[in-house]
Amino acid sequence: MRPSNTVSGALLGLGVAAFADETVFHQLLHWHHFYDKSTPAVGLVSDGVFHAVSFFAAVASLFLLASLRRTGSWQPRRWWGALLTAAGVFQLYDGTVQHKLLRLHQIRYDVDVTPYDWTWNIIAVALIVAGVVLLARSRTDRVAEPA
Amino acid sequence: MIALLIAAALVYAGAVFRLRRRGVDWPPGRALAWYLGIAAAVAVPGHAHTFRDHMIGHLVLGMGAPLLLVLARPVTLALRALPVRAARRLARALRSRPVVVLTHPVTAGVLDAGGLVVLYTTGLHSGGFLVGLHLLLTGYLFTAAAVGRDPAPHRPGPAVRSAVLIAFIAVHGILAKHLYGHPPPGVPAAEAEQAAQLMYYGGDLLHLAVIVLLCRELFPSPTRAWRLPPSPAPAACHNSPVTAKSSA
Repeated sequence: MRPSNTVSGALLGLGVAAFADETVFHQLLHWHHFYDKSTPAVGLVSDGVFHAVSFFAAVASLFLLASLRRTGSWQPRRWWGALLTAAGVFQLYDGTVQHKLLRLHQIRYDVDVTPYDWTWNIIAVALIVAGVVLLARSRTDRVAEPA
Repeated sequence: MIALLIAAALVYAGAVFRLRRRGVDWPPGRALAWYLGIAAAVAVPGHAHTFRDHMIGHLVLGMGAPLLLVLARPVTLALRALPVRAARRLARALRSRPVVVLTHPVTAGVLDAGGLVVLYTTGLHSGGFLVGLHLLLTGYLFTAAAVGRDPAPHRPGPAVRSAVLIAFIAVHGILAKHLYGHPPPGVPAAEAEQAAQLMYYGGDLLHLAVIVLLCRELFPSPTRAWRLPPSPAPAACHNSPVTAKSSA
């Protein structure tokens, strides 16, 4: 099976977005915790599954990237496009569905979250736009012939 | 427990020497992994004073040591070092239905993860020797089922093993978070929180190692491909006097 640039980039995008969320907001800033007491059991389970999937995805994507590089079939534009799009889609999903619709957790507590929510979702949309632009432009790219 | 581990160390050394005498090499890295694994398991105190100490023991006995022991390929070593008849009997035993069912990733994962859930939601974790042995054995069983390099007839493909590994990591993480908010009976909240964080982040580190091993198999590099046989089973018997004789 030929490793795919899009799959590799998208997997790493998911992994990096999830990793950044956990590291920066859970552990360094303590804005929301890995166990918010108000979180329903479903939130806990979904978080656990999501963490396991994103963790696995990040490692798998790097192996795919290594084999793309080795066979000379790495297309940076397509790869970065997929990465940014996936990271943005994850963040937008987190910011709209998980924070607002399901109310699993909020970005921060005891403050007005409106500016945080806007910042969060605008960054998500910016990531998606940048990713999609790169993906669109990558269509004209040619695959380098393996040496 | 320590007596069992010392016995395991001696048997492994005996098998390697037997191979040596026949002029067959056994990679020193595998022997090193075996002894590091045993040393790690020995270092865990039999009776943990606090829940946090117990959790360190859980990470070492249930995950770290089993991973090292799996990398040491004890089954391959046994198949090569045993006399032909005994090796054949062992090979037959490995193909028997109970062993095939027991070593299936789903069975192994349920035993390992299910055991953890029971231990930590009932307070049974302070059970000493038996709990330690249970952690080590189920940890070994699951690690071997997920990323083992020993011959294991009927080992399912990488897709099944990936799915089971992801499910296992999820259960481990969920259990860690659950313990953060719901300490086991008799454990103070502050201590449970510390132990839960240790379980969560320490577990991640060890799971990362297992994921890397599995992905190495999923995406073998072209430069390594010539060293990797198509499946682990024939490689284990390749060049072995045991199978050479038995196939003759």
